[in-house]
Amino acid sequence: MAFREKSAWLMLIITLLVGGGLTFEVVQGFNSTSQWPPAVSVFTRLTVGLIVLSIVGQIALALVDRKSANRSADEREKTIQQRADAYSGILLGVLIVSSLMTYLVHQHGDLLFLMALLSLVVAQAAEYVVEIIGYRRGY
Amino acid sequence: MLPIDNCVRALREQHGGMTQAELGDKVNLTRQTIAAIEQRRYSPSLETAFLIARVFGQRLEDVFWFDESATS
Repeated sequence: MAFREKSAWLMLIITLLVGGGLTFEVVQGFNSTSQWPPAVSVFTRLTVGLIVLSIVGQIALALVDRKSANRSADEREKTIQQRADAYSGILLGVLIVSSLMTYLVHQHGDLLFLMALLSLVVAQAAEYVVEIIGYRRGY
Repeated sequence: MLPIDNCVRALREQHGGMTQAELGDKVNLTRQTIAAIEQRRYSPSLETAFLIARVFGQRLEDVFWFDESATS
C-alpha cells in the first residue's frame, strides 16, 4: 500500500471518529434538550480533536516508513489527489447550499453553523474516500 | 485494463532483476505506480514513458504500444 493511501485511510478514520462522534453527540443533545449546543464548543472540540489525532497519526506513519514519508507525490498520486479535491469541492458546495436553504426555512443561526461544520467534515471524508478508491483502482 | 500495453516487467527482469522500487527511484515514481503501470491500471505520462524507456536503453515504442483489442 502506498504511503499516501495509508495516510488517506488514517485521516478517513480520524475524521469519521471525531466528526461522527461529535455529530452523534450534537444530535443526541438536541433530541434530549430540544436545543442545539453552543457552536463554539463543538467547533473547538472538532478542530482540536482532528489536529491532535492527525499530528500523532501522521508522525507514527512517518516513523514506520520514513523514506516514503519524505518523498513528494508522483504523477499518479497527484492525479488521484486532484480528482479527490474536485469531487470534494463539488460535494462541499452542494452541502453548504443545502445548509443555507435550511437557514432560510428555520432562521436558526446555530443550526446553520453546525450544518456548515458538518458539511466540511463530510466533504473532507469524501475526499479521503475518493483518494482511497483511486489508489485501489490504480489511477 | 487500459489500452496502453507494455513490457516493463520483462525488461526489469532482463536488467539484472531490477525491482519495481529500483525502477521507481530512477524515474521518480513510487513502487506502487510502477506496479500499476505493469498491470495496465495506469498509463504514465509521455515524459515518464520516455524516462522508463531510457532506463532500459530502448525506444519508447518498444516499451509501450497501443493495444487495439483493449478498445473493442
